[in-house]
Amino acid sequence: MEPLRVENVTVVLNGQEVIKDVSFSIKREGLYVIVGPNGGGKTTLVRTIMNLLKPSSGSIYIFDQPNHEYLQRNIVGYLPQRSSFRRFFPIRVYDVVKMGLRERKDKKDLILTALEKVGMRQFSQANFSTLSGGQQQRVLIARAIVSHPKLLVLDEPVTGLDYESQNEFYLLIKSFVEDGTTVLMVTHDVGFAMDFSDQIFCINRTLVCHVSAQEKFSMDSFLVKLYGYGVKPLTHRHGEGE
Amino acid sequence: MTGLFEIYQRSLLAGILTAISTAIMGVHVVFRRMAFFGDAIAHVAFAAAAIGVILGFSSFFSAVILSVLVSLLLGKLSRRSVSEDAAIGVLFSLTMAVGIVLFSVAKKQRSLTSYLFGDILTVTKIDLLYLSIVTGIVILFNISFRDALVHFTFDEDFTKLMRPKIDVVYQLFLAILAVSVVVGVRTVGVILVSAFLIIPASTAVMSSNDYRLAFIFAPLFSSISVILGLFLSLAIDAPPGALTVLIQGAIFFTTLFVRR
Repeated sequence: MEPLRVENVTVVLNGQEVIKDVSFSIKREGLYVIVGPNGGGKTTLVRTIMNLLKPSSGSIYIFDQPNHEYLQRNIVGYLPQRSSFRRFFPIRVYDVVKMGLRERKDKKDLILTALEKVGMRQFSQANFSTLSGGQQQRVLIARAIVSHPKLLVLDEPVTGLDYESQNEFYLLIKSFVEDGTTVLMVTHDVGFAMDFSDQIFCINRTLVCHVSAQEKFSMDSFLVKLYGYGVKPLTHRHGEGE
Repeated sequence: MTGLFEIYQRSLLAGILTAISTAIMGVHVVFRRMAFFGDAIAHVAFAAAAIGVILGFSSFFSAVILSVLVSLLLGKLSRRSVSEDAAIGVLFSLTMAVGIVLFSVAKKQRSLTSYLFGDILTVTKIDLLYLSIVTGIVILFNISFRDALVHFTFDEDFTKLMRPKIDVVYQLFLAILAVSVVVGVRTVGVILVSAFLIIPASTAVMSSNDYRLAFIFAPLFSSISVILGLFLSLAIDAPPGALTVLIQGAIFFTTLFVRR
């Protein structure tokens, strides 16, 4: 079964075509990355995959079922963009993770295990808003994995995190992939995408490139494909005049 | 003839029921940052009551129907690109003007004042029945959907994913909010009902690390304010609604400074 198949998806928002005729598929488990410029439609695509937006044309299949049908019966782990939730809200870490379960019954062991996996078990009773940005992201990852989903969709999970938190976060993601979870991640970190992902999908309104790990490519040619220009290293020489 | 004690007993009960229903709904209102929403609904209720008076309908039921409709419409507006605060601002002034004109044309100056400032000392057994039903509905709604609605406020996308029917719960919330505001208008008036909605809830949210506590503290703070307000009104012969709001304000500022 293919974890994800996107077929000719076009999304129109407020009369504007945000993404146009995008098709790609994820054929087996692994780490897959979506990159692209701001406003290129990455988040729109992810929200459409998660059935939060309806495509004006095209179809999406998760494990060979139409996405809306699959999502009704199963859970896909989802980490929305950081701007989508209220950072300052009187809610306990435990309750945030509990949101990731559909059953109303309190499954304490599942919640604590998920927190354990992300190294946040000792904070289970803490107020979510008192945590740092990196810790909050870890809690939201615990929420995404608490129901043991086979597919995990992460929308810019490291944006706003410091270097150390980013690295910790990437290690966490890699551990999920090693455990057999398929991860689809939106990021601006092209370096990470090139080093660690199985495939990269470049979205700028439409699918502009599709690069697999086996292909040989240079960062420069990749960025030319994605942004339309290459890398121009910035240099700073000490001692030179203005 | 109704004795003074019975009047105060009935007023106290009406005040506490209003305090409970508005404060519980108020916590959601404060969480969702829609404080003006309650004000707008109160003003719609005022205009609707005036229409009811002119046409000879029950002013209560016309207010309930129109307020629920407008509340759902505002809820829809807030999900589109139309600016919600601008829509509320327009509605707010227009409905106030409609109400004042209609009450004046109908020569019901007394009704006008009682809708603006409420009249907790003249609540009837029927008013008490409505208040009890609405308070019961508010409590039942919160027992069933409090967590879902709080989660929806905290993270809309994720909650939609986990609970595809959450929009229905939100519409239900708007309708119940409208009805509780309309019922509150009868006891504390258009001007002060938003204070009942916002002040105790803000105080409770400020003093709670866990949202569940806010839903306990808010009705508690509001009920204490009503009891003190009514007794103070007996002592100094001032309007109980306004005194209650002053006490709510005192609790709010005390909590604010104690917290700092």
